[in-house]
Amino acid sequence: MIPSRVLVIDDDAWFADLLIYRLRAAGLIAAYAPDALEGMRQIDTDPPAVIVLDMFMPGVNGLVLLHELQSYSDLHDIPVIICSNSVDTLTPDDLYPYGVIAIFDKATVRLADIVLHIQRTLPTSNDNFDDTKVRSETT
Amino acid sequence: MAGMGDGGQILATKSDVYQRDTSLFVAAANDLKSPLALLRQLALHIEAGGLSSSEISTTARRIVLTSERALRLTTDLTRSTHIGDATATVVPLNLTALCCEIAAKVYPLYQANGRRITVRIPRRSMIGLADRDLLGRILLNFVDNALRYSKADVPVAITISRRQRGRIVRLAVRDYGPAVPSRLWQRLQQTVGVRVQPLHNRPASSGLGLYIAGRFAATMQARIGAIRHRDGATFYVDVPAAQQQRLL
Repeated sequence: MIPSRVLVIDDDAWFADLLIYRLRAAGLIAAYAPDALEGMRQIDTDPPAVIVLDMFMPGVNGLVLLHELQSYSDLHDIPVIICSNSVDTLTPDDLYPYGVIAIFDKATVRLADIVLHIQRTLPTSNDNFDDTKVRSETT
Repeated sequence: MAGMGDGGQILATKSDVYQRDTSLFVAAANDLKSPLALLRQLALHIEAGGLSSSEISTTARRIVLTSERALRLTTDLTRSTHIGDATATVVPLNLTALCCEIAAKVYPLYQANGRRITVRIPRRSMIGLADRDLLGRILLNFVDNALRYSKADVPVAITISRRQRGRIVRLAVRDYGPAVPSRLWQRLQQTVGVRVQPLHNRPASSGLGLYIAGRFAATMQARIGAIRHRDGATFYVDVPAAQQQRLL
């Protein structure tokens, strides 16, 4: 089974480094984008299983990226975890329609909790198995 | 509760003062939260164990650089509360040398973030009238800010130039990244009183650093400002040129 890919989009490269270290230690594939535009480019090229997103970044912010994801039928189901220093200003009711499954405060979160949340979110090995290809090859 | 001065002018109400102080507290708390949150994560990373000596060394270095950056803000805040005409020691300064010192001071932080900083040295030395400590703090504020918004492939540039027929010397920090949103910049102008052009595409910021820089500048008859570019921004401080500079 190919490990699921997690995309971390955060302008704080040192925070992202720590999270990516923990994700890889847990056997996941982790990629990094320093801003929303680069994140969108990577999502287009290789859609991740889960996105960990900071909200306030230089240039295009996280909310714009969430809007953008919702406008594509093949991307709007990707679960998004928000990890930000400004969670006080974020209301879950506003964000959940955008596929946000969890909101973490950088100041209080333990990175192991984010990893655990991602692991619970990821499809099981059976779910991950794309049987449409097998069906098309056998017919 | 509004009070009346002798001339009948309405003085600031207690509510106004409370709101201004509260805004400053909130801004300071927000600006310090980011480095403190990072420091905690870096420390937890070491505590979790299993790191190589090289990884521990890198993490420890990041703790030092992040804490130094946060401490700059706290010392600026402390300094700004004691600011007054009497505390500024305005003397002729070699501004080129000061800019080189600032660049050298932040070089390790820039290097650790994979960024570069350069000083474009003018042909002739530039002498300006300023308080060395306050002007240094203003420039550090600008280069700290530029680090966050700059890209890895283009270095942040400190430039020194003469303005107004040599009466003013401008020290500018140019970054190459997204600009500040117009709405944010309008809010900064209202709350901070900084006259700048609207900039685009920068994340929400309290503007506390600029507020402090503006106070430092005003104390020594200097002025700060910003210029919007399509690919970034320039933050500058104008200081009076020294008499010997004008004669050059």
